[in-house]
Amino acid sequence: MNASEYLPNDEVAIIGGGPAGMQTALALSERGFSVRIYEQKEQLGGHLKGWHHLFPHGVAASDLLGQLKEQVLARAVPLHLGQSVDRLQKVGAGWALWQGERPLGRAGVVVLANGFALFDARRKEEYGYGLYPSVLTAADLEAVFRKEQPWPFGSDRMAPQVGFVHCVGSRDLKCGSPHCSKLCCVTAVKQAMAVKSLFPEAQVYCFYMDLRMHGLEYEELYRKAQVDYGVRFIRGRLSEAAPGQGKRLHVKAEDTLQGRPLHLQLDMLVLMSGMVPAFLLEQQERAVFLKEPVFGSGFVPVQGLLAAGSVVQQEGLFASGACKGPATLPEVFADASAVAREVEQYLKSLKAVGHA
Amino acid sequence: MTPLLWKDYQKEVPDNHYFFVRSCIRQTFFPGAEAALLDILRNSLGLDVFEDRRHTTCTGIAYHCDLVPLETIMTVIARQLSLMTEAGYRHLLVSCVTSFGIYLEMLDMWQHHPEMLEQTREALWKSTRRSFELPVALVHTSDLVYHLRKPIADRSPHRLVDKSTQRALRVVDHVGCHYAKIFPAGGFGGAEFPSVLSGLAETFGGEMVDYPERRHCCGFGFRHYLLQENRGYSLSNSRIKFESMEAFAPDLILTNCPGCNMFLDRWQYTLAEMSGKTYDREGKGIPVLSHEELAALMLGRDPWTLGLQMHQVQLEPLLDKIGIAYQARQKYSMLAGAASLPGEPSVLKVSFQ
Amino acid sequence: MPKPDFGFAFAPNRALDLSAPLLPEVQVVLEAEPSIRACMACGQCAAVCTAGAFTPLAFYRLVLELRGGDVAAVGERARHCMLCGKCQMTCPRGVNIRNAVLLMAALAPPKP
Repeated sequence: MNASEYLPNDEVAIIGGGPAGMQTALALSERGFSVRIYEQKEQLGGHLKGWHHLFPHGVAASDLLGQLKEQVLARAVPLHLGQSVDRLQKVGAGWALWQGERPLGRAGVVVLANGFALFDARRKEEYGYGLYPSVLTAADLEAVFRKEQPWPFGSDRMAPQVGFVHCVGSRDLKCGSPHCSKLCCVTAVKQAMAVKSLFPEAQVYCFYMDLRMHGLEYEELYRKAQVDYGVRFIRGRLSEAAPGQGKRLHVKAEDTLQGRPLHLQLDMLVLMSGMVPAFLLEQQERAVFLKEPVFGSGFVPVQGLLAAGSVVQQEGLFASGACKGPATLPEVFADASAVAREVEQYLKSLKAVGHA
Repeated sequence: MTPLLWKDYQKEVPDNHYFFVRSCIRQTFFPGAEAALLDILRNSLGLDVFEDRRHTTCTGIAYHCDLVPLETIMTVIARQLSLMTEAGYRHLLVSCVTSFGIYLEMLDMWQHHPEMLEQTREALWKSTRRSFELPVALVHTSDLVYHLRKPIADRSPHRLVDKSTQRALRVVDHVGCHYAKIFPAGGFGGAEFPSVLSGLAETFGGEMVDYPERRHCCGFGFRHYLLQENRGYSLSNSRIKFESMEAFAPDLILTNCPGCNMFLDRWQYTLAEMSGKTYDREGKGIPVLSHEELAALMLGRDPWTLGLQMHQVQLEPLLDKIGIAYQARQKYSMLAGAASLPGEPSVLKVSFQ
Repeated sequence: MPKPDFGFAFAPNRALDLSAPLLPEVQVVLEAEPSIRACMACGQCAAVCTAGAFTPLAFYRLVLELRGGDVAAVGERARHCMLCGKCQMTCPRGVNIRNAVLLMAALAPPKP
């Protein structure tokens, strides 16, 4: 084999500069590997850039993001911003990275850390997202908390009526997303409490199917929301949001615990849009494509419990973080270390075979 | 993923050469409507719309009441299609929305269960010696009127605008359940945001008003309406719609299904008698028009020839707002001479001259 | 023309209107016993309820119906409670059920 077909084996390319990408880069860099990050936007951070405060303790998202970026810069990890990898071509035991017809570089190992997309809430047409200005997604509400967007109701509203709808585009076969997005429930509770803190006279309702408060302190947050903040939880789906009087919305839902339909007027409706795949991984014999997802696309498939970072059917391709499925930030950070370990094992195994 | 939104869905509607099948309810309760539509399509727009006198009811009402079994209605539909085939047409134009839903349902069943199609072919052959082809296009008359809304509007002297104030008239729509709720691909805009009536009203300059119970069923319910004792259930559903639209003060209710048209019109009288309440500010009720009645009025057809005197909620207030001239004395003139006036309701205000 | 007898009548919409403000009597109960807010309708109270074996009493349902404003039904059913205390013993959220039930029963005092 020609030496020019290989790059030094310990070059790791990480696709995605969000929390998963940054943490994986740090973990590998600390172990002495040469890593670089390809990020499609001009800024690092991924979705974390858009959040205001994080559950369960209300840590400012910008603080966490700041810390991560600082560490990445301190380790002088080379950053390729504004570069969106859409094809990986196998070259010998390594990879060539491409953006369309433009070559972006080569590496011995590639780690996919390009995260998730948020479900396009316009597809749940009955909720009127994109049609009625009072309907927001959870991501939009974070932007409101960050003062990047105005409240959809007039500033004279001291006691707004606000509703949160759980499971929008999750657990929904009609939308092609059968999975649970795992962190929308705790996000809804967190956001409901935040709204109540800002508007103590507000009436806040959470319309849920199940309350999945799996993480540490999440259940306590739920109780706090009920008892200390007076958030009302109604078990049942919303059938539709229609324009009501003025700028208000008229929503109809079922209270399954009482077995009765209900309706109410809201000043703001927040849809908990689920986490869905950002891309479709199309695998061929010597190439891997990152394509636009289609209806029912799944997340990146990995080997299993012991090798949970290694992409199925590919040597030298790993996946870290939420591109494999919904995950919270602590899980993403833990995953990054685990994947870094797998990458290290893999690279050691290559050296053991005795490549030059 | 680039979203495909139902509300942007545009159904494909052929421009010409239709085989027309009538509606039981529309013919009976709104006698001028179909005649007006055929006149508009054939004479104003020069289209080829063929009707075979031997065609029958689709038996949809009886089927939905469990009085007619599935095999029977399939054969009846097959016979209608055989008349269409015999006349050389492949585009079916249906007047009633329930009927339209029936045709969609049968075609869908035949597509998924070819053995049922074969059984139907055999049943039709044995009973009538007829055979049929499946239609290439299945179109409701409101689809066609929507599709042709610009040519119709171009020929229309009238608009849905209050002549004295130049304010657009407020229109609420009610699309029949069987139009797109069961087979969303059968209707413009799918099930949540059908545009077949709202687009029509807007083309005539009306202001579409959304109301919370817009998608609620009128409550016709077939078996619920058939027996007098059950009718309260049907009535209660229409009442939910009226209670919801009242706050928005509409000038007009626009429908495409004749059953819905009948219900939303008649029940205003019934509710007024039962509860003393009407849903407009003057105690005259909210006028209800179907898509063909609206098109005919906009084109300048005479309201009484159109059969609008048969409506329970009187149309004169709306006609006056639009500025349509009518002969008050001709209202109850029959071909055989003047008829006696109908009895007057105790609550709903009607105008008799 | 005399009013006709139609032979049928209409029924009101059974949907609950959540926008209607809470009745003052209901607010009084919720303020007097704020732990009611912690109820998550898990059903533990109903599962152990002595009266629940023979009557429609289920505390979590009383909480739901209280918020719905059905004060008369809540008061009447709350009176079935035998005050055995098993519900309070098992409630995983620590709702002070005995006090809550007595407050609810007071909503519809027995007729003399």
